[in-house]
Amino acid sequence: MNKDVYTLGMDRGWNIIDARSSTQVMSSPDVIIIGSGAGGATAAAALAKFGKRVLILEEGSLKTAKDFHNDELKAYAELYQEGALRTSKDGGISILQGRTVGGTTTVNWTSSFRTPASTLSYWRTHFGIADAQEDLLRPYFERIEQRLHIERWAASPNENNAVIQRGCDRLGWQWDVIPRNVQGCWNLGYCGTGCPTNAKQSMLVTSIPEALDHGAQLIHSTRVQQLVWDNDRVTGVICQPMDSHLHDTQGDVIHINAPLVILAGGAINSPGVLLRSQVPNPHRTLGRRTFLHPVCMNMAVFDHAIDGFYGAPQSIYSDEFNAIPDGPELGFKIEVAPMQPSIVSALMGEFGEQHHQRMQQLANSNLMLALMRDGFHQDDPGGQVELRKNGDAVLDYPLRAHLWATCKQAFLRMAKVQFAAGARSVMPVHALGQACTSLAEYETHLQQLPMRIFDVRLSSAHVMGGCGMSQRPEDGVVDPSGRHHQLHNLYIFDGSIFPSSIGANPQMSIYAWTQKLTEALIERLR
Amino acid sequence: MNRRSFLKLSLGATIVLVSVGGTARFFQRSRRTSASGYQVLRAQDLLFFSALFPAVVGPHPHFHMDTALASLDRMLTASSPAMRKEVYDLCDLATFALTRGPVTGVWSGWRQISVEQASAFLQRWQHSRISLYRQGYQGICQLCQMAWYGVPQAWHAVGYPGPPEFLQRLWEQ
Ligand SMILES: Cc1cc2nc3c(=O)[nH]c(=O)nc-3n(C[C@H](O)[C@H](O)[C@H](O)COP(=O)(O)OP(=O)(O)OC[C@H]3O[C@@H](n4cnc5c(N)ncnc54)[C@H](O)[C@@H]3O)c2cc1C
Repeated sequence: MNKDVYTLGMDRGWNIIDARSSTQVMSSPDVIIIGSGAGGATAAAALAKFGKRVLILEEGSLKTAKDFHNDELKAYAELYQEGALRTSKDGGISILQGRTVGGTTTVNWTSSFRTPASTLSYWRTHFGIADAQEDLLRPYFERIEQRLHIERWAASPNENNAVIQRGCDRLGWQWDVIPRNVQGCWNLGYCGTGCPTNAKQSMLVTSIPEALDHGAQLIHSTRVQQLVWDNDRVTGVICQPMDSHLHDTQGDVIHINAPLVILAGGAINSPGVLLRSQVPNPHRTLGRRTFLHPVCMNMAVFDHAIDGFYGAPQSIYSDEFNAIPDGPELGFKIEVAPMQPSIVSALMGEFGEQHHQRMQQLANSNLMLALMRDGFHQDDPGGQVELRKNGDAVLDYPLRAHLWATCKQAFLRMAKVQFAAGARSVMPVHALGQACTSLAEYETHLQQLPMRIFDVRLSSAHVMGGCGMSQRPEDGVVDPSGRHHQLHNLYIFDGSIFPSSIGANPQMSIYAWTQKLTEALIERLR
Repeated sequence: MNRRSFLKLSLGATIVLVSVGGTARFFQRSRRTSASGYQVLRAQDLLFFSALFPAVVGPHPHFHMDTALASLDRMLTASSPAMRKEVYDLCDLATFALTRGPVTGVWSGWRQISVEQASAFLQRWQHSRISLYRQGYQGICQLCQMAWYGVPQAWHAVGYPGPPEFLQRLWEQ
């Protein structure tokens, strides 16, 4: 019989509080960390090990392996922001982000890439981030890779991923194996609903336990509404418990003071907290330059079983088109998505008889995606986080001509890969998309499809930026050490500090940058 | 009237009707609360989605309306106030007697509607030049599809065997 990590930890005396049933906040914490995801957990572990009294505040609840039943709708409702129905302001892009202890890392798909050199170089040149260099970051990446057991996936890819491999091979296009943060992975395929075997080395089973072992307190099911600040310093936070189903806040607000605050709510939410707090924003940079790696997709049908709902969801990628182009169009990375039925049903297109027929081909279908690398051109400033009337954060992300042009390119390239891999038919994931049985037919079909909002089914699982790092206060929100340009004891350590998108799945970039910046912070605290 | 001018007319009409929709809600306070047994869905939402579910899901042999509606309700409960408001606005616009006909083309009301009529409505919104309608089409289809294919009864008929059974026993005492 298995014993849950958290059951064992609590037996050892871990300090975990559900804000809905207790108000026992640790006395005089040295540092408050808002959010328990990639950035928050990494910072928490380092600071707790250093001996600081760390208090972690998390809006989501504590769900662990024993609660993960590979049930899509249960997972979306319990573990995702807005029940996985979050969208950009005009509804043009679906946005997936986690909300649970461990943040998005608890539900992510485990692909682990270092920050591409071309991205680092862009940050050096355009934002004055001198440390954005492969050599300087290498030791941090190596340590993270060791700690999270990151290795190239050694088993064979599932058929869904093999389509990229086979197609690219035939076309002479680049492809490679994806490194994954797993240990003893059972190759099940349910990463997105929370790993039921604790094989995924998410923050839930690595850095959060490490922080708790070193005396940190975790208060979950509480939302930080605002920071309290005065002149150039933050004095504490105001938070409020969530209701029993985490739908809204409810009950008495609590005020907690600390000499140091680390904001790690993730992109969209971190700028949201700062906007609600009305922190100084002299250059109107807060929430700007938020990026999504907008994704467009192709659905192909094969004569043999693909069973994309089983097996490591992402194990092969292609960077054939992922360089930063000279012009305003975007580079894109090709990957596939896991194919559990609820989420895939929303991408099959059409309705009624046609939709039903397409669903019956689920097991023979391959869902390929292009992650578009936004934020690397002066005409591509990304989106802007705003507040709704009720204080909820929302991302206004205008869909610009260059994005549509890139979608067209990406659709066609993916179709080439799928046909080369032997697809019987390929269909763009578009409200008017139809299955085409040859590349020529697909190309003609694509020319006729309007590239416009709601028709092209865009989505995103990688939200970055909004509190960007910059040397000059005019260009961002935090300095290259992660410190807020105007509030000097406030640090931001999460995906929101990147000045552009990453150009690869972002979790490793967040771990490594947070590790580096937290260690530098610790040096200053000595 | 050709297709183009018809669509132009609808756009103007929509703007007027959206505000009528707001007024309609104001006078129908009783219909603003969720129906009994539901967290989010109100009587008019149930009417609307009951009419559309069969047309969206198609000829699924195990389709079960109450299961589908309960699943949809659960999804919306976990979503945001903003998303719920969008769904409410859409349903009000599509079900309120004054706006229903011009906006949806369904003049007779949703209660007795055939699958063919419901499909004609979906098609009209799918191909509309008005982005509000295309957004409505996408929203309706995606919500209904996700809600239905999220329940185990839906899986067998589309060849999804479900999560491996041994996982159920993994954490049992
Ligand atoms: C389905 C999916 C698959 C993905 N797959 C991959 C992958 O394979 N590889 C990869 O590299 N990346 C992947 N990602 C993305 C990656 O996991 C995220 O980019 C990363 O976890 C973001 O880290 P973060 O620290 O910025 O925020 P998060 O990890 O999102 O953590 C932020 C936490 O802060 C909490 N929070 C926010 N606001 C508040 C508040 N006001 N008060 C209290 N708590 C708050 C949130 O609830 C959340 O738990 C995936 C994402 C998704 C959605």
